[in-house]
Amino acid sequence: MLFPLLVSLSFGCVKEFLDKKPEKSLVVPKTLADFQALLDNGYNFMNRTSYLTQVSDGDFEIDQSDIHSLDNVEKNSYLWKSDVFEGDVVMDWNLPYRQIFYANVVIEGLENIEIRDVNVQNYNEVKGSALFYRAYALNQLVQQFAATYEPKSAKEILGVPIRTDSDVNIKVKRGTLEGNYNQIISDIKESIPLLPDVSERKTRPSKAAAFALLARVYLIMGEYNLAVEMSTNALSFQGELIDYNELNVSVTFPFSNGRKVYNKEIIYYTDRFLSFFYYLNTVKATSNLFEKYNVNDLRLDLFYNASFGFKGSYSGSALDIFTGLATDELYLIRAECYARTGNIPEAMEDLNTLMKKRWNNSVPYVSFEADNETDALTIILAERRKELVTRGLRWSDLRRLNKDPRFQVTLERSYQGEVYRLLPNDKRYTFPIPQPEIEGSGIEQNER
Amino acid sequence: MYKIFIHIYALAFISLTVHAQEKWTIEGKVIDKLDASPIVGASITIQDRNLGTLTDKNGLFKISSSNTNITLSVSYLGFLTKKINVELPLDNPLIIALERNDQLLEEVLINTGYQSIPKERATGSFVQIDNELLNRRASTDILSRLEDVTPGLIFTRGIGTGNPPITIRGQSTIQANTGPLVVVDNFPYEGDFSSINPNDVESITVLKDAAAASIWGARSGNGVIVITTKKGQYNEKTKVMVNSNFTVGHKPNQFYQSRISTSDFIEIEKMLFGQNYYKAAETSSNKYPLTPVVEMLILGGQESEIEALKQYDVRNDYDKYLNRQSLNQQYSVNVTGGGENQMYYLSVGHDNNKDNIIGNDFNRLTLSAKNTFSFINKRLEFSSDINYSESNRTTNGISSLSITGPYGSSMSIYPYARLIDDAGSHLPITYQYRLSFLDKARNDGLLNWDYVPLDEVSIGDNKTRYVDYRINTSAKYKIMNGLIASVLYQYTNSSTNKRNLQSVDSYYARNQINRLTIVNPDGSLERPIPLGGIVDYGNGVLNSNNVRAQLNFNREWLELHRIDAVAGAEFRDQLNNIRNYRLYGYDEEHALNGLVNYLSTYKSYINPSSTSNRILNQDSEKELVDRFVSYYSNIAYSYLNRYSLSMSGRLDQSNLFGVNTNQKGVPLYSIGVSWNLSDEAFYKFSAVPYLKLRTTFGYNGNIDKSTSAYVTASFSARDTNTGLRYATIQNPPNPELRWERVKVINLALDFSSKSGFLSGSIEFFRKQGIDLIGVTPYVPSSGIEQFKGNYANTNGQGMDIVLDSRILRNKLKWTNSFFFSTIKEVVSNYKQLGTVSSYRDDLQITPMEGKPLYGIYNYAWAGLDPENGNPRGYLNGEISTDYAEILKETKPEDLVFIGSSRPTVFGAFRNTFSYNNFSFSFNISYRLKYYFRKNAVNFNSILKGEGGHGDYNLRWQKAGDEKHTQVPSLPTSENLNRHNFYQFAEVHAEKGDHVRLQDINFSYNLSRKTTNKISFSNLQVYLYVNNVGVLWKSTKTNLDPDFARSLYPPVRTTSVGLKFNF
Repeated sequence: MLFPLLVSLSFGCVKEFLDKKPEKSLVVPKTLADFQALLDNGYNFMNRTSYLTQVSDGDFEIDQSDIHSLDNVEKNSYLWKSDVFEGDVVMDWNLPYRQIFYANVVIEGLENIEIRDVNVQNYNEVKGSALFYRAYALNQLVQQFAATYEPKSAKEILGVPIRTDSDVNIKVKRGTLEGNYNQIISDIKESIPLLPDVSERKTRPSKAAAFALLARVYLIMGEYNLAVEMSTNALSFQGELIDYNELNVSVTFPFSNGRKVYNKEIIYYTDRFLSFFYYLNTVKATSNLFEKYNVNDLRLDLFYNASFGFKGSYSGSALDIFTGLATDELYLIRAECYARTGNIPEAMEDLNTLMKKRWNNSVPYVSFEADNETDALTIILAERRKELVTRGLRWSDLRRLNKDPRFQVTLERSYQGEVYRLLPNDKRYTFPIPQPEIEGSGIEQNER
Repeated sequence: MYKIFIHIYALAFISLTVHAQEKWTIEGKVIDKLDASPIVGASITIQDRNLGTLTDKNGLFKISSSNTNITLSVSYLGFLTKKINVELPLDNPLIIALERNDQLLEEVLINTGYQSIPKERATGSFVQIDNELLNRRASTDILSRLEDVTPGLIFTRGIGTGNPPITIRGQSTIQANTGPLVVVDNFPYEGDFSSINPNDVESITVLKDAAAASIWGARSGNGVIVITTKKGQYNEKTKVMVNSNFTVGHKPNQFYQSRISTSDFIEIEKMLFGQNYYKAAETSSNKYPLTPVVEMLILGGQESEIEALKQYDVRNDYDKYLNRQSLNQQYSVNVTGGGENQMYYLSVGHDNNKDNIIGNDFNRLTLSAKNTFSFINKRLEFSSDINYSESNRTTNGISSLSITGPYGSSMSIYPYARLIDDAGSHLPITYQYRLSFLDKARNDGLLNWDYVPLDEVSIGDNKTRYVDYRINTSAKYKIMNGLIASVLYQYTNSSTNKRNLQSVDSYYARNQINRLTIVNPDGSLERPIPLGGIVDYGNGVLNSNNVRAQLNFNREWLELHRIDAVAGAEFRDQLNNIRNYRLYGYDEEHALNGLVNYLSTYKSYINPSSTSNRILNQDSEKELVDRFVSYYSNIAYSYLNRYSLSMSGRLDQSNLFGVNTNQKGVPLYSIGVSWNLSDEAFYKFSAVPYLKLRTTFGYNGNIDKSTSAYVTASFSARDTNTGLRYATIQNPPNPELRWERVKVINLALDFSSKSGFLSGSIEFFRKQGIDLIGVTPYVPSSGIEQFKGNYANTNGQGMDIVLDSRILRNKLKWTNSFFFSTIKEVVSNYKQLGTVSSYRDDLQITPMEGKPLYGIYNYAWAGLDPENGNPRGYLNGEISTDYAEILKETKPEDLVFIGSSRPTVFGAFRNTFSYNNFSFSFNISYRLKYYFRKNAVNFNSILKGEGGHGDYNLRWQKAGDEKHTQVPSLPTSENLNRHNFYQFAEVHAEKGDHVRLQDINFSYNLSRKTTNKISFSNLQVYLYVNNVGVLWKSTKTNLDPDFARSLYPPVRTTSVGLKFNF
């Protein structure tokens, strides 16, 4: 008699009674500010990118005597071993997925926020940012852990798992490379109308950044017209170049602290995970890189110290190396794409716009000129390598350029009397997927 | 909730109609069968009619009935209840002789906190500790009285124990709450156990298996300890009980842990000085101190002066000036009684303890008042209890001294330190800074910077006041025969107020002030921390509201069927609020404080190059809320009192688990059956007249508050570069989070031999922890690498054997209680491997599949190198001294697992002799099949001039020594890898098996039989000695296996006490 009464009486208020947070200081992210704060976790990982591709890309080398002191993962990457990780977990795989996880937490959390006039702009920015982070991370993963994009076979090539749900219990299969690129492009396109034109803090995405990322992706896909269009869009929001003549070559770091001050070329700031390899004293640019700079090219002294160690990052630091989006990359993308679509004059004009800012103004500037595609591309690609050194783009450039016999490169290292080579289009241009992932979700491993 | 109360009150006023009929009167007398003396206050009831009376001072009674055929039930405490069939009218008065109940298997009511069940019908595994057994021990706290008398329950000893330090049948959890649930007066008790006065406790029931504990649902996985406090009785004359005792404890044994001798210590200092080890420290910018001998050596002091220091050992000073004999005084008075419709219990208790460390004291005042009123012929009962406990703890004592070493690390005090000089003045010790620096500070006009340990003890003013209220109110209404509805409400409030005033005279305050003092060029001083004391407050309040509504149904049909059932719902809301704050520049006299700037940075006076020092900010606040809604039911059916079937179920919902789990619900349930085999007609085994089989199966639960079902994040201060606030996800969403479950199977046999010579029980159990919260590696593409969730399992099994024998039953009585418990528990379904260092550390749990939760893992030991006395291990199967490689290459699975670090076999053996009024008993306990790790000499510390273990003296010094020592040679230079290998090598693992004489109780009882004038009177004088000593141990060391790494084992205490009732 009493019992049913009590039960019926209690049920109504039980839900509210049990909704109380167990600990006051537990922050359950709920507000736009909370979600923005999750995305602003840049220094720890949200604005960070792969480091092993830069150990493998052949632009820098260390003394042979230092190789043994590298940890196994970096040593194996340096020597292009088949098994890179030896069962270990690895940041290059884990952290982009953590970025995607955060983005998904934010995107899902936003569904519970009511959109009103007063918050709509903020809401859009947070949502656009989350979509952009997801695309940026997925693009990083694809360049390292999936095979090189080829339009004809993209439907058959295995991609990397795409995560669009924050539920950590879900296991996702690999899908196709085409699926990966579709996801990247649709996330960026969805983010564009939501993002501000340019963002005051370059660790946060903007329309300029979204277009720049699209240009980068379309270049990789060989969609040259679209890449021209997107880089033009991006440059319309932010197109300035630094005149390197204004910089002081004698200081330790010629560029300002990129995370704080942002020079005017930075559109979107990310940097490389800490790498022990790049921490070594003997790390220096390979001779086939630094020998290519002209004596009147200011970059030689701004980028390198006397022993050809790198000092010219847009991060203004020796450890956190800038790998984000910048206007110089856009000029180079557009120049290359103009050249590839037969528009040689426009291509050379874009290149010269950039190169004038890099040339010592005490000597007369001689414009670069070409009259056929191959010549133009040869010049543009050489400048691309020299300009975008340490930006984390060389690996993906090697992968796509090796498909073209005109621009194939063989990388070579020596260690303990043995010569290690990475031939064009080698399977080792795709990193293996870390073992814990293979075991946990049962996905297919890459052949190496 | 008030609606519920209204409902109950409304029920209370339903009037009852009584039909008038013809009545007969029954008259009679109740006597003691032994000597025919009248029994005063025996209760006589007419069965099924709920009518009753009591015998008067002559043992006479009168009762009337309208039925002609009735059954009378006559009962009195200490006597067997008698039932007689009477046909009315009667010709002569009845003479009813009651038999004294001194059989061992008396009718024991087991209180589960929800209901009382007679033991004979119970299917589950309970241990009841009655008042007499609880009072065998003298102690300030209640829980320690369970030690060594409760089968299946073991106290974890030494360092790294839980609160309470008790496990019942193992620990079926990894990360969650490890202690059993303690229930006081029907509700979980979360205050400080030391606030309970043991003299208020009537009995304790320990619930061990599923049937017993599942009624407690989500928190019963580690067993439940149900404490029932005393209360009054209806129709009971006023009874006063007084208990007082004094307990004296020895001083702790400062020489228990072996330490390097003073002479060796000084010789090492001389050697290190010779090697210029102190050279860099002499110019240390942090002004780290150098010990007196080193200072003397720097000054080129006299050899004879240094030699003279070798006679001192600071532990003698500890013993003389920091320690004392402890003295605990306990006084308690309680009064109980009751009339026809009312009963009460009042008590006052006072404890005053002086700890064996000078400056540490404890006192406690407890008050308790309980009242129960009944109305409408006892159909309605109200009770209200108020319990109040206030304790004050002072902790100004110093148990051991550590100082800063020459290079800034912390070290034990140099052994030749003296706390007092020959003239009796208190001496400063070399503490955190060099003497020359202190001289400079003195010249600059800073506060005196000496550290004088004995002065600190008297200057100290560190008090914790703990106040605990518990208010219970309940209403019970008998709706009809056998059906009772009740509502219970409990409010508790436990507050801890800690106040640590470190006055300006204290070293702490002087050091804080001095360290940031600025000396201006003109010599004037600026003090960012104002002159005055530093006072720290820590306030914690734990508040809980509990409401329970319950129906009890108990009915018997035709003396064949019996149903005992309860069902109810419960709400619990607990709020825990903790605040800490600190005041600087405190002026005790006027309660004024100074202001400080927490944001500014200051230059250190000590090390002027350190410029970013801030004033310590100790302010913080925390708030925790636990909420539960639970529904439960327990039904027991018995047939012929021979077959019983019990079922219980409980559904818990909580704010800890989140919506999904609450919606789904994980019911915890149990089923049990029992069979009184000896009641069967075919049972002819007369040597064992009582034999009962019982078995239960079911699930208990456990809670881990460290994880949450929600996505939680923590906010960090602004990023130094971007200036943006950022957040990190702490806990990914875990909508599937649920409480841990423990599956328990219990199989038991209860027996009693003819005339109760031997009785006891044998129980086998399996305990399986399921869905235990553990850390598991996760697919990295999920965004996380590992995840804390319901992953691990444990598998436990064991048995409890209890044997009670009454060996002699003449004038000299000799009884013996023996119990033997085993527990074997391993982790299963756990894929994650910890690091080698986490396994080496035997105090933390690092699960490994197939191994117990607490184990001793070691590096394999290959003895000492005969060439140089280096310790040797194995590297890839080969003997090696490449310590760096051994440490690197040894994987967790390569470590030598020796065994559990918690006893897997334990028990006790208690003998009681009584002759006339004298009684003597002693309890021998044993703990077997486990291991401990002893301390090792740390040659690294020795080479740092920090002293170390006394094994130093046994070290390998020349070839051949390896035949009689396992202690390596002194290395030529510090080698941390060598030490880490040696410290965790097999050679330090020792068998823990031992037998100890835990305690002795001697008492003299003077009791008077019931007379007309005084209902009862008893006087007892007792002597109790606790921690008597270890009788046998497997280890050859002088260590107490349970306290191998403690500073010292518990001291022996002797109590004398007096108890009397009138």
